[in-house]
Amino acid sequence: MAAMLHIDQLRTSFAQSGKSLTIIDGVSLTVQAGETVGIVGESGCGKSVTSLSIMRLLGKNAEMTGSIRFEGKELLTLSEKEMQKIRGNEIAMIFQEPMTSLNPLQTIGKQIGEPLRRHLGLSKQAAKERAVQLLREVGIPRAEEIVGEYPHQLSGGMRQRVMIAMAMACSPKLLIADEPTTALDVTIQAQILELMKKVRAENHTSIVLITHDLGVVAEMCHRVIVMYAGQIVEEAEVTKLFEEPKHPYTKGLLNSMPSVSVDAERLEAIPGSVPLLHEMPAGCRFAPRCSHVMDICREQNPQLLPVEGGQKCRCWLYQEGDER
Amino acid sequence: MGSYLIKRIISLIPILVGISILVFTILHLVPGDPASIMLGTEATPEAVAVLRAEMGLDKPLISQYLHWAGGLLQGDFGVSVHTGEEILPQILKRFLITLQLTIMAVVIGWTLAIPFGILSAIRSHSKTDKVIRILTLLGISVPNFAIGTLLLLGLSLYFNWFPPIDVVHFWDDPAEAFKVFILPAVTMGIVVAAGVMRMTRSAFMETMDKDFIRTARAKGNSQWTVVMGHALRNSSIPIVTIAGMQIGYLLGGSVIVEQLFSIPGLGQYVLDGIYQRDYPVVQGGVLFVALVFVLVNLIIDLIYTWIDPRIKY
Repeated sequence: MAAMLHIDQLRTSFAQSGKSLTIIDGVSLTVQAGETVGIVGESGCGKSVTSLSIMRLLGKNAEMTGSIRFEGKELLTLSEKEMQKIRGNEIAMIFQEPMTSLNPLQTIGKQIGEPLRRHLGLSKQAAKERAVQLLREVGIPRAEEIVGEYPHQLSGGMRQRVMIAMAMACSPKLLIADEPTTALDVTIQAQILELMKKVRAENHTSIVLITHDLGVVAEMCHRVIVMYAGQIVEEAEVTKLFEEPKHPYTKGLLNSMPSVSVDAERLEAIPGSVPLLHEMPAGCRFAPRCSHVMDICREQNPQLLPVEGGQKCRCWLYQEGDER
Repeated sequence: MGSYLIKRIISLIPILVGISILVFTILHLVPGDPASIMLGTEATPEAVAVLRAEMGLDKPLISQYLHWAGGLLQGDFGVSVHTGEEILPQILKRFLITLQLTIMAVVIGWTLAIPFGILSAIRSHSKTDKVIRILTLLGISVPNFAIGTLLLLGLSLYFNWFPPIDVVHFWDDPAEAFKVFILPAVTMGIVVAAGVMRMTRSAFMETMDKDFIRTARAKGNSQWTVVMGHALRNSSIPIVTIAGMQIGYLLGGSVIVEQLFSIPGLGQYVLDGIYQRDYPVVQGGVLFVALVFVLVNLIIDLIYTWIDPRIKY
């Protein structure tokens, strides 16, 4: 059986004042039916661009090469019309900012009803009834009244529930959640994650969860992909990633996570910052910030290769034997 | 809403009182008065003084103002010093002409501006956008008397077509009225279009960058639905604002265009009043225009609440 989502050697670049800036450089990943895959990394590592590439929502100056197959269907060669039939229907998306991601001038009911009317051809009345039902499913009280209200009348957590209801309206096979809890209070975050788990269990939805919060990853994901500067540096089962991180960057991320059990005075931070797009290091992109840096790291970028323990890692520490 | 309306209408009173004082004072500061203009340059100072006394112009300014304002309170705008005609019926008659012209100019302007403004925004930096923006710049920078003269000359020279001179109301003869007003309306419409089009473009470009537009696309909507169903209403507040101001100005009478096409509108009425130092005409005319302007703005403010449910008064 074909995977739900199979991305192969995706390269996304943007044309900017005559030059081409590559944001995603050779990303390959697979999501199976019912699986939740997390994509983690710092701001600017290309997580969000990856998700928008899948939806083909990047605008005219973006250029994509490689392959994105959804249930065996190549998305990169679909026409815009065919892509519209997939968006919101088979692949849905929720965004980071529930405060600004809803249309401020449309009622909640109309916004939830929109994909229903468009993809399932429901009548106005039927769409409204289904919207009430969906709002109840995502745990919104007074659903009958809320459908007639506007986004500004709801709190952030409520709005994110509305976003989830909207995304789940056509029972998509794949849900892309781009930092769905980042903008919310901690207590609300937990509720939203619970809701996503519930939705996943009920619909058997595959999820691509984009986050920089490793706590969210541990809570939700089966498999994790760690991205750095537009490339995948490590891919692992979620337990493996926390128990035996391989890549120095992954280790750095884990060490910079606050923990109650570790009695450390200071959190460890990864020194330096993500390299700028037009100043990518020639060798390993993490080399300038890496504590294990060797000579070869500065000259050649390592490949993403399987290492012991079943995970994949892009680091010279683990491939000296194979490569040389 | 009801109490807001009442508050707004009450707040009109100080605005109108202020304007009446202002226009009265400025007018009386201008050298020359109706008496000396009526009698001409050869008149003896004695004759002028007699006429001034007859017209009440020798009284202190304050009592002249109170006399005029007192009349206004009873709905009496007074009579023209020059022709002796009642002023209010004249104003209303001419306002109807200006109103017809304004409506036509606005319809022409918006039907040009809004579609092209949207097109320009969603294809920003394309060739289409560049052509539209250059035309807009022309529309803004070429003065309307030049546009009007060119239209008039072009049509009469090459097509031997002259707009009829006698003003006809739409409700009497729509076809004839259309002929009378089409040239001045196009002239004014071009200026209206240029302003509205620039605002439409910038408002749309801002809206199309918003997160909820991305959400609308992520739901599988077509470009048309995204633009017309989501972006249009969200961009319309600044567009309505500038449109309201333009309507306010146009209703005050476009002196130059009215003069050029010899249309006896409100602007021309006030202008003639100024030439003849016809104090009551100018005062009444300006006050009426101010009232219209303020009322148009009130209507625009009410339209805001209909566009955006977050705006509450």
